[in-house]
Amino acid sequence: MRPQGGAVNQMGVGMTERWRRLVGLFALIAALTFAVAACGGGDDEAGGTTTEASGGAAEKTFPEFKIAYEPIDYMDPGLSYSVQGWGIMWNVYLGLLTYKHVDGPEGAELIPGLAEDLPEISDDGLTYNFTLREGLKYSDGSPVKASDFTATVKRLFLIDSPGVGFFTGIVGAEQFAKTKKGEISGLVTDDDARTIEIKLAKPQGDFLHILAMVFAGFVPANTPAKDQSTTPPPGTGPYMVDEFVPNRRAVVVRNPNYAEIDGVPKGNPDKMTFTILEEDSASLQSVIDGTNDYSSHPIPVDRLGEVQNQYADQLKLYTPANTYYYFMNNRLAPFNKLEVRQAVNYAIDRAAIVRLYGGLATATENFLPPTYPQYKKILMYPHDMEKAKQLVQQSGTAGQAVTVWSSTRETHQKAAEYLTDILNQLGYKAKLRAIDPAIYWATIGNQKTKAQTGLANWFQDYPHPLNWFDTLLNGNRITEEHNNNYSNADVPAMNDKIEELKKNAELTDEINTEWEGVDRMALENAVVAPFVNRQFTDFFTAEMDLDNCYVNHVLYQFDYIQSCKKG
Amino acid sequence: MGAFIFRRTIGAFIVLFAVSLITFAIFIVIPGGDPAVRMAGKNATDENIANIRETWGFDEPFYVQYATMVEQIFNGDLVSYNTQQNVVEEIKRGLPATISLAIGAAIIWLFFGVLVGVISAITAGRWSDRAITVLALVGISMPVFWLGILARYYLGPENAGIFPDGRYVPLTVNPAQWLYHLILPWFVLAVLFIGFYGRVLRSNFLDSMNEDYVRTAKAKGLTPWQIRIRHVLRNIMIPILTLFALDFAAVLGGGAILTETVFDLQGVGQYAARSVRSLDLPPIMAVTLLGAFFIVLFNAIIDFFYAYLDPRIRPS
Amino acid sequence: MTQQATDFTLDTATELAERDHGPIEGRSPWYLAWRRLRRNLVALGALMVFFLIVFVCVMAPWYAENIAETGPNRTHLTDKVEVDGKMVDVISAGGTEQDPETGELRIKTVQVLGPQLWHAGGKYVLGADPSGRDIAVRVLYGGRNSLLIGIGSAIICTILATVFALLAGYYGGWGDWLITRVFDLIAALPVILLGIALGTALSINGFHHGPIDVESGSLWIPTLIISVILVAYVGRPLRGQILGLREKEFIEASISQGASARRVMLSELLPNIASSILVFFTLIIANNILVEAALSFLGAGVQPPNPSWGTLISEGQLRIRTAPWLTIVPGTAIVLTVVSLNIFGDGLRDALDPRAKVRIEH
Repeated sequence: MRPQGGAVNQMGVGMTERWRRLVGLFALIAALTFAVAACGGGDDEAGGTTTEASGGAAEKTFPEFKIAYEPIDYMDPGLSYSVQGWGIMWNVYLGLLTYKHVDGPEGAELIPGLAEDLPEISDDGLTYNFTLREGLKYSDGSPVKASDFTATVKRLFLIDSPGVGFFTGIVGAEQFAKTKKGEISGLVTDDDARTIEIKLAKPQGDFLHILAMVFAGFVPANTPAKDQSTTPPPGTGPYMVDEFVPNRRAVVVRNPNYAEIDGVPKGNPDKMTFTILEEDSASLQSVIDGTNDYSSHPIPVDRLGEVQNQYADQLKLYTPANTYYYFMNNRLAPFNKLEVRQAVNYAIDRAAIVRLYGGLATATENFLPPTYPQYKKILMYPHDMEKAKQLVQQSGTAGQAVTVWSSTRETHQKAAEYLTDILNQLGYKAKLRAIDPAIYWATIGNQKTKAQTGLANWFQDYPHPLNWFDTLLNGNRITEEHNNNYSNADVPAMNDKIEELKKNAELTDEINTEWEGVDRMALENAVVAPFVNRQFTDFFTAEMDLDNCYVNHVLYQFDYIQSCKKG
Repeated sequence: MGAFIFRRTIGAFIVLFAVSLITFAIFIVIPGGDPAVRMAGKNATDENIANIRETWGFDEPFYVQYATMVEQIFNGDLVSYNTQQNVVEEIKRGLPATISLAIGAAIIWLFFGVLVGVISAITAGRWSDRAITVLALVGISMPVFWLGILARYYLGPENAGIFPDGRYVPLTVNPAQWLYHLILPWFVLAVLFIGFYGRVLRSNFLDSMNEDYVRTAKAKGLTPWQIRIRHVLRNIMIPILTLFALDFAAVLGGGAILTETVFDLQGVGQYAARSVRSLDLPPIMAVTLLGAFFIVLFNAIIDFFYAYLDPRIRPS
Repeated sequence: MTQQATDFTLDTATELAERDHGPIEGRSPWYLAWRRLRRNLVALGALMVFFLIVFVCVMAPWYAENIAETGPNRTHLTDKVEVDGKMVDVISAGGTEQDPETGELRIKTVQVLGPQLWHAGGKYVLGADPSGRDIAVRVLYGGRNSLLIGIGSAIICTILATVFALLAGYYGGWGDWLITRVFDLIAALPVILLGIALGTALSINGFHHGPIDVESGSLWIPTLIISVILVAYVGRPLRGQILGLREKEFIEASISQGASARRVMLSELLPNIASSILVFFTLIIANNILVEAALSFLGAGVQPPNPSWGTLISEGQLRIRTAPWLTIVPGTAIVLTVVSLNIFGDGLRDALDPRAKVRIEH
């Protein structure tokens, strides 16, 4: 029915009157709606309006972050030498220096941790001087003293820490290692002035990075000289370990005495519960079920498709600095011949090996991973089976028996089975020997084993090329029993270069180019046969906010403390 | 009687001693890598390794090391070579799962084994007997771990969704979940034994039916059922129970390794398998001793019962 | 009262004479047992199945060379295969790619070739494993290894057990005491643990002590280990039987006639336990196949890359979602083999010891 303007309807109310009432009603409804929107949506408002960095983080806090975690070797900063241990403890035990908690190459930048500033380094590179910040406290409230640094380093020697090798460059450290008594003469501290002076026997280009390792994380001087995993000592980081039950769980909560340090955020979760699971698929399933918020395990290869199709938004891929390679013992036949080592490099089809890893890998001929500024892509050995066979014939070693070593870890064993097959195709009599990961490295690191070739890999301890070339390929560092240079690579030109570059603390462009040259030298001499850099996955529940709160650090990978839930 | 117990106890100790010695010897004679080097980690120094050797006594002669290790087991001080975690604590953490698995499975296999065996014997020759015989044969022919893998996957959350995906929930935390998570492992472990016990029971039952005392009972006018239950069954239960006790001891002592591993129950058996594969001697010693202890204990209990029940065996 | 399908008679001389309408002749127990076995069609059928499995596995190299045209350990990561006329990747390339819209890295999953049956002309009948190896070839070679170890260890175990049982039973005294203690000791050690321990320890360096020189990875290692850990299982019952026989008069008679120990053991005792040995032997093969599968599954048996049914199940476990046949096929092979051996063993025992077969009638 069409309203008649101005006419009075049967109810005796004028049209305009009715129109006004309608408008009024609408206005009222509109007003109410606005009022509700303005007052009621508390969360939305709080989440969206803040802009300052730490203020924003404070707003993103949430009560509990539940993580499905891999087994942890130790919850003792002096003993842990694994990604799993460090992933928790880099936020619990700060050292003089630390890294910025950011994505990408900036994360490799050293920033002052417990120290006020980056140190003063003497011109000869032998003396480092630090001043500790004022008013620092441990999580139990006790004050942090400069002498605690000495106590922390001494403790490493007293407990025979696997990290001891990083600190033997300090004057007096080797003496202390032998006697375990007395002082380390190279460490001089003054608690009142809060100063720490470190003297090195020789200049060490990577020493600052070593000071940022979890091994150098301060613990109180009275921490007992034995494994404290089940009663973790108090620390100085934004979080503290509340409970650790080996092989079962770890509970990490906020450190009430954390002095905010620039670049190390206070963290979003109030509490982090790490449930330790052995099986990769169980870990994945627990996140799909929602029992846990995040899985640190790699996704089992046969579920990658399922995860990619159904949960693509909850998946993140990242490439930590790692290289998988075949070592070839330069001292033992047949690999003491350059042609044979080159033949292996030609014979392996790196693109094929990528498929062994479910596609989650990139083929490489470099020893250094691509995340390094010192990386320049090497393309010396395109896959060429014919050429490889020729080289083997030339060397006259065809038909020799070769044992290929590997650990029983699936990601190692498959690659080693592949190499065994390739060596057989090249005319050798190759056999595989796979042993448990717990004893693998010690076995191939023992010269008595006479391991000819096998699988090796390396994940960086800190972002510096010395951690690669010096630790793994320096002929001067070959040892009888706990060798890391499985190839026994001993190229004088390379050794000399490494020793020379060791002296520089700063990585200038020229130095970087020189490191590129070392990488090339390694491959020209075919001391090893690198094949892939592996990619890894982080998997979350749909509630986790991956657009705003996902930081993957170049060394410590996913930063748990910066996670947050979707608003 | 007292002398008997005393002699058996001494015998038990000797066996345990020998078991521990053999285990130790296997890992000393057959080298599996220097534990000092293993402990020293990736970036070790010679100094480091020498220190560890001294602290842990790896340079001592093997009998000293053996004695130290045994002492540490009883003190509860024993730590692993790989992780320096306390071995005794770790075993304590795993015991509830292993014991729950063993007891539950044992009850199930005894009950069903006897039931199936009796039905099979009573209906000997008919289709029910044949069907049961076939099933029993298949049951004892299946690799336990294979059955476990298939059961866990096909009956688990990704397919039928009837059972949870392995793992153990402690009784004290949630009794309903404890039961729910254990049902599948119980049955998988029991399948093998049900088949075996069913067949043993059937053959013993049938053999007994030919004994003179059965003929006497029949002649006396007892009904077939009375004969079966009151006489035959009771008579054959003794050897069955003997077998049961021995098998139960074997399962407790490490026979459930495969089931635990496949269902990821984190019990003592799984811990043992992990330690053995990584040549971690301290847990191996502790678990082997524990297993041998159970086996020896149950053997002794059985012998004691036999001696008690049968005066002829009782030594003077 | 009905006659059973396993048409049973004691085959006494009288019965046979009636049947054959001939004179009553004495027959050796072995002949009678053979007659009873012949009638047990189920048992014979099972034996045929077992022989068939053995035959197929023995033909593994022939199959590998002529039908699948590959070896058990040959990887084919980048090869292509002709399926119904089209060339297909054995393992697809996979990798990571950038999502065109969001620029995020996405995973392109690797596809492993599934069972082709006969579409690929004999290659990859049961599909490929993630390294591109032919599963059917590996199952056959795996069967070969598992059967070799199972049968080999059964032979060694039985021989050792018989020798020990004879020595212990005949001589008695402290020799018997020693052997019994050794048996007890081995039985007290948790068998699987002992097996894993020895298997792991020996797989690292092999065994090079004294005259014995075995390379790690040799099949002798699991064979010998399984023989040793199960010798008590067979030895104890055999020893018990011998102890029982020892007291019988015919043994005493033989000894008092001046028979040497060797003669008594070989000519008097051994034949009397021969039927037990035979039955044990059959059942032990079945048992050992299961033990080998368990050890290999845990990594302490056959060493990689060599296949055995146990290692194949372990490898297949990781792929159970996308390729369940990798797990199902080797397991089914084990079940078939062991069941057929058990059925035959049952039939053998029934044929050799007829009294056990007599039933109540109702």
